[in-house]
Amino acid sequence: MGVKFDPNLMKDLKAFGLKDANKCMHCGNCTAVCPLSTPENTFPRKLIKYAQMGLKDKILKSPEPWLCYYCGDCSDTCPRGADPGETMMVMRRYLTSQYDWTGFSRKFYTSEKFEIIAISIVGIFIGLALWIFHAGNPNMEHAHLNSVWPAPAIEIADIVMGTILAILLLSNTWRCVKFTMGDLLKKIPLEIYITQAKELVIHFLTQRKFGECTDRMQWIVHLLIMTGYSTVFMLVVVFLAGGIHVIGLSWDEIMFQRDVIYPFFHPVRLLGYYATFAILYGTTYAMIGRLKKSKAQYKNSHGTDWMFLILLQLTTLTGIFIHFTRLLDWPMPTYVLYVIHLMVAVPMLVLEVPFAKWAHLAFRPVVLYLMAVKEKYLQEQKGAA
Amino acid sequence: MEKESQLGGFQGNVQKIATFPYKGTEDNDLEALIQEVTQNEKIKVYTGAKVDKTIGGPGVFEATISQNGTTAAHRIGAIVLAAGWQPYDPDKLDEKLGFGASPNVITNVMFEESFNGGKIGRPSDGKDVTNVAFLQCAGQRDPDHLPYCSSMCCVTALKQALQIKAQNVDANVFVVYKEMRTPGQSEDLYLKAQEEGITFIRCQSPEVKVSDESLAVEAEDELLGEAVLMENLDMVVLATGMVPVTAFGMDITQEEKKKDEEEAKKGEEDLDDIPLDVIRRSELLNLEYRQGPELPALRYDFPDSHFICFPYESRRTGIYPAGCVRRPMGIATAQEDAAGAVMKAIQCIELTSNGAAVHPRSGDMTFPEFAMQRCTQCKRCTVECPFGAINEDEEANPLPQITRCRRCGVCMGACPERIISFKNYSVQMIGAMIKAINVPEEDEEKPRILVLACENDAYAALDMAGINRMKYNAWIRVIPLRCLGSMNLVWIADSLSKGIDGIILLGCKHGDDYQCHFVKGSELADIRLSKVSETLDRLALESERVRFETVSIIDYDRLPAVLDEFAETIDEVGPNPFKGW
Amino acid sequence: MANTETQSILVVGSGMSGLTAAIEAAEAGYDTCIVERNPYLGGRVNQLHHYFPKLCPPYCGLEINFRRIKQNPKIRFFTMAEVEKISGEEGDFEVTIRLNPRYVDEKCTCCGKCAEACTMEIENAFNYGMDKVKAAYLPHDMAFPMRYVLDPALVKSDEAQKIKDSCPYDAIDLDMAPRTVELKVGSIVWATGWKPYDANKLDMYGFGQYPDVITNVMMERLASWTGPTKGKIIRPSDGEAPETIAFVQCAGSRDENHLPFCSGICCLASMKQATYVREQYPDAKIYIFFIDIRATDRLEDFYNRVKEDENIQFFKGKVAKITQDENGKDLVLRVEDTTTEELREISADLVVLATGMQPNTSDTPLPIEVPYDDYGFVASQNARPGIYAAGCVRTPTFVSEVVQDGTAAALKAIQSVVRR
Ligand SMILES: Cc1cc2nc3c(=O)[nH]c(=O)nc-3n(C[C@H](O)[C@H](O)[C@H](O)COP(=O)(O)OP(=O)(O)OC[C@H]3O[C@@H](n4cnc5c(N)ncnc54)[C@H](O)[C@@H]3O)c2cc1C
Ligand code: SF4
Ligand code: SF4
Ligand code: SF4
Ligand code: SF4
Ligand code: SF4
Ligand code: SF4
Repeated sequence: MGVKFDPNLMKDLKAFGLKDANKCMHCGNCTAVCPLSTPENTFPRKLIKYAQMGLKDKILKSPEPWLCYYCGDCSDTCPRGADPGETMMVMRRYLTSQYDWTGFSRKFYTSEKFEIIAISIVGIFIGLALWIFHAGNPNMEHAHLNSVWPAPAIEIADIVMGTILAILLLSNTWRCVKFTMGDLLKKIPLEIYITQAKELVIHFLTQRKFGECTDRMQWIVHLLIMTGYSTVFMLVVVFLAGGIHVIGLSWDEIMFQRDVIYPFFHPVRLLGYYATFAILYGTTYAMIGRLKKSKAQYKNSHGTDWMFLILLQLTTLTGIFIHFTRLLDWPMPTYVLYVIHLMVAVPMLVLEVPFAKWAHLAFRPVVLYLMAVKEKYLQEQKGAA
Repeated sequence: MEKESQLGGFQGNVQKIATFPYKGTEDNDLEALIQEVTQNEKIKVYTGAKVDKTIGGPGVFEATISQNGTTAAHRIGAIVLAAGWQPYDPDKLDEKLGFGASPNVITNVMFEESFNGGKIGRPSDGKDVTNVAFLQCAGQRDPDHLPYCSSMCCVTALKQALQIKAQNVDANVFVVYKEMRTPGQSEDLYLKAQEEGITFIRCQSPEVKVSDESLAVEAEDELLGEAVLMENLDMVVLATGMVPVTAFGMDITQEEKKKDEEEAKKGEEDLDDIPLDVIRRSELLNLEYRQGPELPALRYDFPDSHFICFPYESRRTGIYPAGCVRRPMGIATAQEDAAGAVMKAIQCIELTSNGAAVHPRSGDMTFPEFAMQRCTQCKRCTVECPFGAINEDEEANPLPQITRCRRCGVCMGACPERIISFKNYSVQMIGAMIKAINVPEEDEEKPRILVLACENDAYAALDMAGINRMKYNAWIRVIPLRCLGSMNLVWIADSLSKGIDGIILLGCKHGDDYQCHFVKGSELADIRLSKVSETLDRLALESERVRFETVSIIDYDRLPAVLDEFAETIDEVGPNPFKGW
Repeated sequence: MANTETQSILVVGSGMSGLTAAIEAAEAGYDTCIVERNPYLGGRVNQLHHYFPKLCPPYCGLEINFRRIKQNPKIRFFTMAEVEKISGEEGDFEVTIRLNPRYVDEKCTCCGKCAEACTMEIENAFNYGMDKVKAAYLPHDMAFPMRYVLDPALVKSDEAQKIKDSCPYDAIDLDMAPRTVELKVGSIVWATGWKPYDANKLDMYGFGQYPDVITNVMMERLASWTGPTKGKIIRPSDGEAPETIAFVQCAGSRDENHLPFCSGICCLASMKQATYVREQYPDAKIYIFFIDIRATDRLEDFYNRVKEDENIQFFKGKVAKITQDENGKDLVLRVEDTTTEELREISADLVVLATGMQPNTSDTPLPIEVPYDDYGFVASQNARPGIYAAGCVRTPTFVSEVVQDGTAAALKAIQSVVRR
């Protein structure tokens, strides 16, 4: 029985970076040109219509924003300059903020001031904490991080942070699941959820969908950043697990924050180099693109897009510098860089992972997985009928 | 000559206009134009006036203009009819559109009239408007109301919507359209409206919901696949269309029918076979023309030209309709249109003063001459003249007004007494040509076929067939006619009695999409021909011997086949028994 | 003061707008001179099969107009001519006209002997390159002036002398060279019309790549008896009759990446062409993919008429991509049905791109400064004192409005010379 027009949504979405969606005349070109749009899930035009009409509920239920990888084809060919790809990006930001029950994400997205202040506060807090809580007699002859900030302490802090983040991210993801699936969520038998689980893994690892886009460069850049980031993330997690002193476990070989230097061909060192290269290449490409507005997806940059790239690049840069200062065995620079490194990395994790752009790392594969589940279910329903 | 007390017409009510280059709205510059007109010493302006009567014809029109109770007669060379339009009566609209149910449901015309002072406020209480819906095609493109599209109301709605946005950026403005029609550069205005945040909804049948204090519109949004409800509206603006002023007033053919019925009178001769034009008593020109007081109207009562290539050729010589009386249009087009009509008017005066005809035989110096002694007052010529050039005196004698005449020769073809002729074209002339055709004797077994072809199209097509070296039956002899409408039945009778075996008339298409340069010539010829069958019967001749065929100028590819097929038919029918008489 | 020289009016371009302007002014008693780039008068409408909504042949009106020219000593015209320079001002323009050689003079009777003798063939521009003509050719069946033309390549070739000798009337002059003419005129009407938007720029539709993707102007030629197929609408790839025909509206129109404006006529042109197809193939299925159907004023009747045809489906959605299916025969159009949110792939075996009209002034501006709009149209009918724009050079539209505009321009041109 129809829907009500809501004038406020459009204004709200502006804060999330929406600019050109007004101009859409609903020719349907974007949906037909989109390499990822399918007969089951057509987009992006539909979402633009929702935005124009203020249909918040429909947007909340829409999985489509997560199915878009922002290849930009639709924006490049939109006859109206309505930049439909941008609308999809905005939808992702908006949905991220809607999934987030704390309301933090919304603030983060809608106020650049808030964003900068939040990041600065966390950064400064970390800096101060490291300043205050360091060991009494740091090794000033050799670059030994453990002598300044003993691994167990860092691990504790890490685990605390990790748990909080995980709770936040998981709860937000749960809301994402609930919104997108609606009533279906409980109707679909568990079995299908289980059998389709492999999809989740595959999508996460290969970004296969993205490969279907016509602009391969975009997929490569995305894959670089994603794999680079995941590698580092995995290394951190694995090492954390290897040296959980707190509960009495410790496996020296893969203990966290070891002051040994691996031989050049050691897998860990190689992985580290790969990650550094991948992230630096990817982020630099994206930053130049955004500066030059070279492609559709780079034409409109939201504050959070910049913040994301800057933090990531800074984290990586400081990380690799630490690696060099350690190789050179320069204690003081190593310690200073370490502080800076954490002052950047921690806010990035704390704020971006559950509340902003990094959250898509969870939402996208989950939604893709849910769509696979749904499709399977509907197929079975059809078969049964 | 303006009916109202002020110049400017509807545009006088308008505050902002949308025109080239359609990048936004502009101030109405009508005042400057009015100044220009009133200050030009060559323009005499009558306001609050009416044309009581118009007599004469191009070059010698005399219009009686009444103003404030006084009348003055004016000699006029030509007339531009730019009497415009009236808004479609909103009371007739579908109830669904809510007109009348709330003072806040208005029309696009009311919008202009009410807010030309500046502020756009809610009609009921003048309060600021924040939620406004425009419903397009209200009673337009609808067989029950106006079947056509008024062309300008999409642009008008965009303009009015932009005006509201300019007054209040935060206003929510909706345009509910069936088809967004912004051709040419006006597409830019559509884009502009979108950029300004106006919401567009495509819906074929929106419904206005009026309850005590609230106004809402429900529209099935085709592009969403669901109904959308727009609530708390301050105002709904309906895009009603334009009705030409020529659409008002009783159609005289209806009047006549009534009169006939009342008096149960029978004319001396039955003229019912001639289809009459729709002419309404719309009190614009009040022509003293035998065929009626105004311009004959085309579909939907526009006195337009039916010709794509000659849009100013109305059915009354020297009278050129311009602007929305001709077809619905916006100001930019209307201004150009008026300039074009004036061009035609000046040209008409120029040609007429030289004694020459206007389009399509422009420059022709001959004219129909009536040998009145033999006239039987049968009225054929006065009724059939496609341009209403012939009046009647009290004794029902035809009174040709030569400057109205287009030299088509229809009267010449119509006259049963054959008393109408031109210096260079007459019944006798063509008769002589027919006489000169050599008819083979019966034993030669070669039939003779006469083709009477319209010289404008059919003859040109035959020519093209010749140039392309296409062959057609050798029995054929062709005589070009000025217009098939000038075909006099006596030629058919003469030909048949002379022993010619078959006659085929080639003329332009008639009917709704007629192509006849003289509008009704080929149609009238066809009607006349249909009466020949009686004659044929009387002479005991087969009706296949005469035929009417429609051809256009590009039909030369099929023309030989048509002629060959006719020749075959004639061959089968056998020789004309009158041969050798 | 008025003098005869500067009272004359120059009309550049002889499409329906220019032709009308020239004839109307001449019939009102003014000397006019037409300059036309083509070897024939009449412009683009020569290449149309029928006019909407009456479905009548454009030659009908052209023929009347040509006759008016033949009868009227006040009209002069130059074909194969272009205006090179305009100087001076209202009432006193000096115009330099460049005349390109036709190599055939007025002695030509159109006997066609030169074409018979000629072996060289060139692309037939009149049929948009869909077939070839002899390099000694009549531009088209009803060309006015009715006179042959030799292609410059032919004149340079070895065949030239043979061709010259083949003419029984000695009408061929191989030594004709370009020349210029200086004219003094009082005012100028600029009516150089439009050209079809270059479909090669629409790479998403595979024009040039798939032979069965054609443009609407080509369709007019296919339907015309004087066209490359003698009026048979067939698939260019294999000459077969098409079964499913798709009309892609707004192909490069209403599109910021191409022409942002709407050409105003292509909706109607496609509907008209659908009637051509339906007349030839009673079983053919037709799709018209549109954003909005723009049939203004009483043209709405025509829309209604076409809508009644059950075999013609109006489909609301802009075609995004055209590809060929595996068997290499059918074309597949990817499009969203925006009324149902369905993503569809529709097969057709002939696709007609409804390309728009781009003003010729967008690449060949006037040789004197006048204002243009964003798309290269002359920004106003009063382009500059004494210079008036008319027809599709000002706004894209259909013939009756173009004629209206030409008539209006004639008035302004006359007013301009009379004012002096
Ligand atoms: C596919 C299609 C179908 C159409 N069908 C219809 C229809 O059915 N009905 C209808 O009403 N309209 C139709 N139209 C529109 C119609 O074609 C135009 O309205 C009409 O051609 C406009 O005439 P014009 O005089 O402005 O321009 P043109 O016809 O383009 O005439 C311009 C003339 O100027 C000449 N010229 C150009 N540059 C120069 C120069 N530098 N110097 C000298 N001369 C020059 C050209 O050679 C040409 O002869 C159709 C259009 C298209 C694209
Ligand atoms: S292509 Fe552009 S105008 Fe067309 S529907 Fe998509 S966003 Fe709207
Ligand atoms: S950006 Fe690419 S993936 Fe996203 S909607 Fe547009 S075309 Fe589809
Ligand atoms: S101009 Fe627009 S609103 Fe007016 S009748 Fe035509 S389509 Fe309807
Ligand atoms: S020649 Fe034609 S226009 Fe003239 S009076 Fe006769 S019928 Fe009328
Ligand atoms: S048609 Fe002939 S006879 Fe009849 S009224 Fe006219 S002139 Fe007289
Ligand atoms: S007339 Fe129709 S097809 Fe042509 S540009 Fe306009 S909307 Fe598109």
